[in-house]
Amino acid sequence: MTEEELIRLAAQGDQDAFARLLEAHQGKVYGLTLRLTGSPEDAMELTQETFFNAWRGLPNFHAESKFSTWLYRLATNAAIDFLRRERRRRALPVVPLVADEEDDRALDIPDRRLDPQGEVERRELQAAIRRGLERLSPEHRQVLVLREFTGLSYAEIAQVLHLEEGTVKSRIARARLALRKLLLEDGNFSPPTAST
Amino acid sequence: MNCDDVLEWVSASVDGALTPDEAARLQAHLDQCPRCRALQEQLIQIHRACGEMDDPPPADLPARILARLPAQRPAAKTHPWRRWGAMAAALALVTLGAWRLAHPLTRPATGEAPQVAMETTANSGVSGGDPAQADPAALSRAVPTAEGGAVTAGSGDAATAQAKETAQDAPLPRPAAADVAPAEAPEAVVPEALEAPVGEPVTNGASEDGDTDGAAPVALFEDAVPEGADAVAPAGETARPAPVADLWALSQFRAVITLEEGGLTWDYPRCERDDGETWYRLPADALEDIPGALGREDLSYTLQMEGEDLDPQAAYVLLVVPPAPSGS
Repeated sequence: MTEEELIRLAAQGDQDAFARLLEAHQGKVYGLTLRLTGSPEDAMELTQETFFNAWRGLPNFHAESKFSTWLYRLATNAAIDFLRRERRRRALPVVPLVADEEDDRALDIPDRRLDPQGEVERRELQAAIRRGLERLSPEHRQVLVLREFTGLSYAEIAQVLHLEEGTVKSRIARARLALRKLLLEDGNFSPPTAST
Repeated sequence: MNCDDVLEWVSASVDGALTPDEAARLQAHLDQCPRCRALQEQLIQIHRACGEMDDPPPADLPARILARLPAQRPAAKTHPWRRWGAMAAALALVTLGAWRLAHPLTRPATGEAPQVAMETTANSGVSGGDPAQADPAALSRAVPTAEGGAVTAGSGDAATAQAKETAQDAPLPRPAAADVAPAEAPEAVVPEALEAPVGEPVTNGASEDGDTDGAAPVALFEDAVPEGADAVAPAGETARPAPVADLWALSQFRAVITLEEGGLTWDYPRCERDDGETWYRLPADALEDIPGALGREDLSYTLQMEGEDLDPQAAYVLLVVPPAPSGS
């Protein structure tokens, strides 16, 4: 059964068809909301909300875009709304970088001699990226997360966010620059020696 | 080309999104510029690290999502009224508060017992609105079977439902048992701000916002015999009470807000005022949905009722929402 068929059935109330759509897309939606919020609990909630909205909105999905693009838009909107409410509620000032508890396991005086493949370094960098993402502005975070974690092209991201493709391109560049700056400040990201 | 010009290309090169010409010109710059080379290397490092990050969702996520889906499309169900006392979220309604004081609710308009102001069920007088835009099904599914409610049919305020869905009739979220159009959840009516509508069915009525900020009370209106259906009261003037009919006039409400609750969707008339306020006509217990639905946690209200004959579960309100604070 094609995805179109599944969508058509699900739009008529077929939960089994919807379940199959869910299976196909929930990982990406979860990943997206996780990277946007930095919190597995929030990502769970937002993923559920996204699919609930999708279920409700399916009768009005007429394939103006890919189904996944539409889902990502729902997910991104939900996550950004959530982040805005959280910001307001918590009145976040600029948060100094503090390592998350769970990331610390990779940081306890790693002995790099025993880690020739740089596994520890990789995990440190990933942890630093997670922290850095949370400190980016919502606009930067959105584009960067969509690019890096859902594999959408610039054109597709433009569709999700209702932006011009050129805007997406330049915003991604600035987001990367901002993230890089945070990583450098974090100290976990050593500028590589300039190579020829 | 200088480094600023090239930044976007460096980033695009990470994504393989350069034309051959751009790639060549970028390379020419990189050949001369160690700083940009270093930048490119770092961006590639970040890109790779992101690609390796894999946090799959918990295994039970699909089940949890499916468990929350309503069993079928919104169908005829009794509207689950939420417990009155649970409204902790608040919305400020300055205009109405002052007006309410000028028009005490206990003064019956027609000699009958005070009743909650309700509007025109003008089913008969309907709007010939723009059929392309109006979605009568959306509202007519909400035609109530008055559940013992003190719901007054007001005048035949033949709302000219121009733009969207409004006027047809009472957006009363109490569907008649048989009378429900299968939900084509009318996406058209959802204002852009609500693209992802409130999806969480509130099961216990407790608001999560917890700000009880005794701000100006929401007024409950009694429906005087309507005088001039179309006159629009200037909003935002707290000192001058407007005739009830003006405030209630369905013709002012040119859009709807769609709220989700318990798997059902309800459309309530909405009116954007020139001064930036937005007005809604809602059952009182839908008020607690509004802050979430609008993303306006800055709003608070207190609901006060007067008159012992008023049934809270039958109460409707005219809700005035001030524009969002700037800089948010």
